Amino acid sequence: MQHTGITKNQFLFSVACFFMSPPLLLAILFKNAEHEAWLISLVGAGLGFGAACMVMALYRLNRGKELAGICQAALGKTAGRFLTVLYLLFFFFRLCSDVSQVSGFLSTYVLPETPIPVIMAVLVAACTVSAHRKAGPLCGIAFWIFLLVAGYTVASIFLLRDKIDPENYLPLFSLESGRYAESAAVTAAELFSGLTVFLVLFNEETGRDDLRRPVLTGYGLAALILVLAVFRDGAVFGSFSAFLTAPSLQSARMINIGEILSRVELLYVLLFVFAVFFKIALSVYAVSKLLAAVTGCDGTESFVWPVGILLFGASVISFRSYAELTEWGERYMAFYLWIFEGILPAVLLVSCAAKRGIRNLRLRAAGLLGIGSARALRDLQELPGESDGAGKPGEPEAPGKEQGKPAERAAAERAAAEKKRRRQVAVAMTASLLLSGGISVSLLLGLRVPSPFAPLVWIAKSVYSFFCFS
Amino acid sequence: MRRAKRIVCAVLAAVLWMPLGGCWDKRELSELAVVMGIALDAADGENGENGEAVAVCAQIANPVSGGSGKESGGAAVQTYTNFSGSGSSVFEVLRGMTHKSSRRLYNSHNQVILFGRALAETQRMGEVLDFFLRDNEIRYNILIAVVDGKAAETLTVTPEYENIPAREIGELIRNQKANSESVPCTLLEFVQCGLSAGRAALVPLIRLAERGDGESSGGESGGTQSKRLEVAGCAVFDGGIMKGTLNKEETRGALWVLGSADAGIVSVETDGVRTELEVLNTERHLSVRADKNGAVTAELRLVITANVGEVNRPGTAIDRGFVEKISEACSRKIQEEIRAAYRKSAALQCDVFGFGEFLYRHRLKEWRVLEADWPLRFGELTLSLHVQTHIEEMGELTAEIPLGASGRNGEARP
Repeated sequence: MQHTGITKNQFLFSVACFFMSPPLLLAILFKNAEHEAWLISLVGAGLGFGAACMVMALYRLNRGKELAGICQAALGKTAGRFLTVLYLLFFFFRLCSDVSQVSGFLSTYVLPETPIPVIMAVLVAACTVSAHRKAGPLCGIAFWIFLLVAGYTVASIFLLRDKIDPENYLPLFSLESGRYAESAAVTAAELFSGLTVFLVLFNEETGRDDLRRPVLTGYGLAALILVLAVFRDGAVFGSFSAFLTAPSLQSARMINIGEILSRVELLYVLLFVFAVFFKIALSVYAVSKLLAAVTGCDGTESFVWPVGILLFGASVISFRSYAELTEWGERYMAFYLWIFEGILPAVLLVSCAAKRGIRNLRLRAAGLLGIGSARALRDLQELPGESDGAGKPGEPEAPGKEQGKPAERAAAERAAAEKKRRRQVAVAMTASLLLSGGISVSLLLGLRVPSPFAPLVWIAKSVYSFFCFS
Repeated sequence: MRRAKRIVCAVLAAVLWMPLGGCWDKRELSELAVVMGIALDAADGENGENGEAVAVCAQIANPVSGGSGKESGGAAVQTYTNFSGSGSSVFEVLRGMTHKSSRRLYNSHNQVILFGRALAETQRMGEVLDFFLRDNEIRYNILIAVVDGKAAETLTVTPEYENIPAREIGELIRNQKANSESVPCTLLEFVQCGLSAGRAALVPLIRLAERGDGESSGGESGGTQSKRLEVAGCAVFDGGIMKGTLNKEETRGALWVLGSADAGIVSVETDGVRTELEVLNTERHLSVRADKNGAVTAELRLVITANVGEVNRPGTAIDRGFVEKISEACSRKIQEEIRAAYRKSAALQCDVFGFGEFLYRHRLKEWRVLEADWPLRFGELTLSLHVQTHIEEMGELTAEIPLGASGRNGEARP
């Protein structure tokens, strides 16, 4: 297992930064919940906290294992691998969506003349370079990003105090009941979910202590900042906030300090880019690590650049317009987020708990009857959460296990493994370069490349129509 | 492997320097036409020529003059340039100005949007303002005003203090807080009123007045010298269309109810003594309720804190009795102003006080019943006013100085 020395506090602020990054999504919240967005944000934060607790319970049951190992421990080898691949795709598509959203935002509000692919290229390259240095350095700067974003949020509330009208929060319970449920579900999914990425990263921590408290504290801090931002924007714009594509940016534009400092939105954009950079870079690293686990390959950093290159190619063709991206965010993204951040972790948790419960019962029964004790002890060692990080597929065996082998044979095996790893990385790099290069060339030639999101939209639409959702 | 890494790094460095330079989005000041104000009028003729709906005049600051209005040699330089055009939409006209201006119009520093009365009374502002709300260069705290006449004319009036008329108009509107007889209205506030439940928006009304004898222009930068700008109350907008106007007293009456009248002079007369009271602070408590029959009662409690600013009869004793009298007179005067504003707004069927919005926010069930015919219900509501005035200070004087024909104790002055 490779530890990069991330401390508990760094984990705390990393989680906080990870959740704080999507203030743009507030537009979806306001569009759904209008002036009652503050209420929905509180409900969403509560639902998100429940999901976070569930993910942490899953982590505690499978201490030392990463997502791939957890899936296999819960569902068996084949189904577990299949689920890991699905999670890999989910993380990747979420990354594409994030990159498209940030690039679209920057292109619309900050760099209107710069072509979006150029913004995407710079963003993805910067994130990939950071991800290549592993999660340690990234988590090291999380505290400072959190401090800046939290400081800005509090300061902006103070600076906008004369424009804040608490009456804008009223009336209460004026919407249809169905809209509350829908808004809360979408808000919980889009603003307060995403902790499953950390199931890939938890083992980066140096110690073996329980991460539950720092992770949930980090989540709580992020939720507090997001809820404060919702309260601020709702109080400034009232029902008008439902019409805005970026309420937080617009509230930053309302700040005017003594008729001198009136371009505060630049600071907001800068902080937003910092937070998004952190989220994307960490996600790129997580996707690379999961890819290494899926392919049974050691050396996560070797997959970082292929993932980055592929991410750029996929992001470029994901959405043709900001409107298309908004539609995806509003209507379909929450569907997948609920599946992968809510339902599947719940299934994994129940499965792991059930397996553990059954084995405990078997052990107790065996103990009572006094038979099969040797096998029972062996089972106990293999229980989820009791083993020592054996769940990561493809991880090389511990050196201690090689002691019985002759040194030359061990060296030859290592060389063969390294050769295999290089070959796999070369294949990944070539494939990603070919795919992204092909996409870029096609776009330059004016050819229309189908969006990878099209099948996802079709699936979500089919499910919606099957269940008669609006 | 290391060699390959170096090659990749070199290629990336070579590719990435271009966007990192930020050349795409550079905007040199010398390439921008900085818009300081925009005037919107109804196009001339019936629906304009060729189906044109709106006439736009954009005032551009001239940075060459450096804001001084004079060149080094002393010759006057126009500190602004006005571009006009008409078309079917604001965006079309503004972009069409590139045919006349060698620089692209830059709206981020726009101070004010002015509507001509004819446009405000005939066209929904939602349609006209869509461009300003959608464009990311424009800020929502930009001021708006209605011009009693052609809005474009105000952008040619010689400014008194500033170098650019649009800037002068902006300052003039902001300055209305001092007397509460008009109210600054930003784009955001206007839209919020439009989206609210039944509340009409108050927008400053500007007039072009002839300069009186002895009035001269302090400006040096050209423009119409014979006219000056003045604020004359407010225009009332409901449903995005201008429905009428409130004069200065009526406007202040509405602002008392809205809790926005935090400053101003109230003139009261008691026993033949006219006293000017300067309002320092207003505390407002509003309650609106409807009974089962749909009869609406609005109850307003106002606590005004004021100073004595001027007493215009020499020898008046400013004692406790006098203070009580002027306090009561001030309360009565404020009630009269509120009732006058109510009568006018009821006649216009526009709820400028936000009573409907209060019901919507605090008594949603009652509002749902009244919502459909609120303009009529608003005209029939019972207005219950309780105004208290506290006089805090008498100014720098303890008593009136007898600077009349006779001195202290009726003695003739030397």
